[in-house]
Amino acid sequence: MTQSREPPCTPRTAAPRTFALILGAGLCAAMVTWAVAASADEVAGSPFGAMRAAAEEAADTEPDQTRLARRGVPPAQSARSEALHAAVRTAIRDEVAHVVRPGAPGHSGSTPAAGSSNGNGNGGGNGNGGGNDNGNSSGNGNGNGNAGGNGNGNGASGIWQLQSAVSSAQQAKHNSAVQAQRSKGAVSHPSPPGQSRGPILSTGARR
Amino acid sequence: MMHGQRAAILLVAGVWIAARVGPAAAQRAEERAAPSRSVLRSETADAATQALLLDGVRAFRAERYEEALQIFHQVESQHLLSDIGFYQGMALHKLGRHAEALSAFRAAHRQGLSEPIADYYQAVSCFRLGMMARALREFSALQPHERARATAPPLGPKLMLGVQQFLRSIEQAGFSASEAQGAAPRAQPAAAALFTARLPMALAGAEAALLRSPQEALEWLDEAAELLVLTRAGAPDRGRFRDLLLRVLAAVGAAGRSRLDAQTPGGATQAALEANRLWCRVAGAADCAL
Repeated sequence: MTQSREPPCTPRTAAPRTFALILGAGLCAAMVTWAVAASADEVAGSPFGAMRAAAEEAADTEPDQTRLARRGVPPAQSARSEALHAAVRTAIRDEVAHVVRPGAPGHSGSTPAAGSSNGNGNGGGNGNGGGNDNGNSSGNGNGNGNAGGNGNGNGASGIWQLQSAVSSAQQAKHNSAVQAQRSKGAVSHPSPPGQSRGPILSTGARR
Repeated sequence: MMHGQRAAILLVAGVWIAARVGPAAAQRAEERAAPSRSVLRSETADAATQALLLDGVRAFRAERYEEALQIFHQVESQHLLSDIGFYQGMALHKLGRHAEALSAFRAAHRQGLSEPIADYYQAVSCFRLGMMARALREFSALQPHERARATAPPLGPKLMLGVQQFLRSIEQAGFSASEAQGAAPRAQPAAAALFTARLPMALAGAEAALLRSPQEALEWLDEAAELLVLTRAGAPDRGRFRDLLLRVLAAVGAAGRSRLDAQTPGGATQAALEANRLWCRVAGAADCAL
C-alpha cells in the first residue's frame, strides 16, 4: 500500500531521537525557568523586605488615638448616654432626698388614692409634684431618661413606678460608675508619666 | 526500544540538571539582589533562619504581634542577627510596648544599621510615650529635605503623610523648636515652659525605668538630654541628669555581663558610649567624660 510507505529519505530512528532531545531540552529549560522565577520570588519575599512592606502597611499615621477609638461608635449614642447618665444622677440624688426627707421641700405631699406614701412616684424627683389629689403629679417627670415619664402615674401605680425608677436609676448609676471606671482606666493605663499633661497627650488610650 | 531508553536517559538527565541548576541559580540571584546595608545579616542568614523570620513576618502581617514577637525572640536566641532589633522593635511597637521598642531599635542602631521605617516607628513610639522633644527631633529628621541632606532615601507616601500629621499635632500642642545652622536646637520662647515642664517627668521616667531595665532608662535619659538642651537648663537639673546617667551606666554594666553581651556583642560598651555621648550633648563641651 502506498499510503503506509514512509519517505525513503527519512531514517526510521530519527524521529524518536529528535523527539526525545526536544522533550528533554524543553523540560530542562522549563525547570530552569521555574527555578529562576522561584528564586526571584524568594528574594522579593526575603525576611526584611517582607517585614518592611508589612511594617509600612501597618504603620500608625494617626496622632490622635481617641479618634481611632471612637470609630464605629455613633456620636449620638455617646451624647445620649451622657445625657442619660446626667439624668440618672439627678434622679438618684433627688430620690435619695425624697426618701430620706419626706417632708422636705420638693416632696409632693400628695397622697395618692391608693395610699402610697411618696406621692405617685415622681421618679424625676424634682419636687414639683404640686400635690395633686389624684396622684397625677404631671409635669414632674423632668424629662430624664430612666426616671422621666413616670410622673404621670396614678397613686396606685406610683409606688411601683417609683421602685422601678429607683431600681433602674441605681442600675444605671452602677453602669455609669463601671463605665467611668473603665474610661478612667483606659486613659491612664497606657499613658506614660506625664502623658496626660499636654493637649495631645490625653490620646494614650488604646483599644 | 533503544530509542525509548535514550529518551528516558535524556529525560532523567534533564531533570537532574534542573535540580542542580535551580538552587544554584536561586542562590546566585539572591546574592545578586544585593540586600541593603542595613539588613545584611538577616538577609544572609541560613535558610532555616530566614524561614523562621518569614513565619514571624507572616504573623506580623496577620496582626498576630505577640506571636511574631515570640518568633523574633526565638530567632534572636538562636542566632546573632544585627538587625533583629528592627523586627522586634516593630512588633513591640504594635503591641504598645513602646519603651521596649525603643530599646530594640537602639540595639539595631548600635550595629551601625539604619532603616527608615524603623526610624518612623521609633518616632511614633516617642510620641506615644510623651517624649515630645525626641518625637519632634525624630519626626523632623524624617522630613524630605532632612533626608535629602543626609542622602537617605525618602519615605513612602503613607509614612510621609504620617510624618506631617504627627509634626502638625506636636506643633498644635505647643512644642516647637528652632534650629539655626550649626547651633544646638532651642525651644521657641512660647514652648520653653512646656518643654521645661517635661523635664521632671523625663527624669522621673528614667528613675522608674531603671528598676525594670537600664536600657529603658537610657531612653528616658535621651529625652531628658534633649529637653536640657532645648531649654538650656541650669546646673541643678544637669546635675540630677548626670547622677541618673551614672546610675544607668552602672546598671547597664551589670546587665552587660549577662544579657547584653550575649545578645549584642559590645552592647554594654556601646551603651556606655551612648551615655557619655548624651552627657557631652548636655554639657556642650569637648571634655565631657562622665
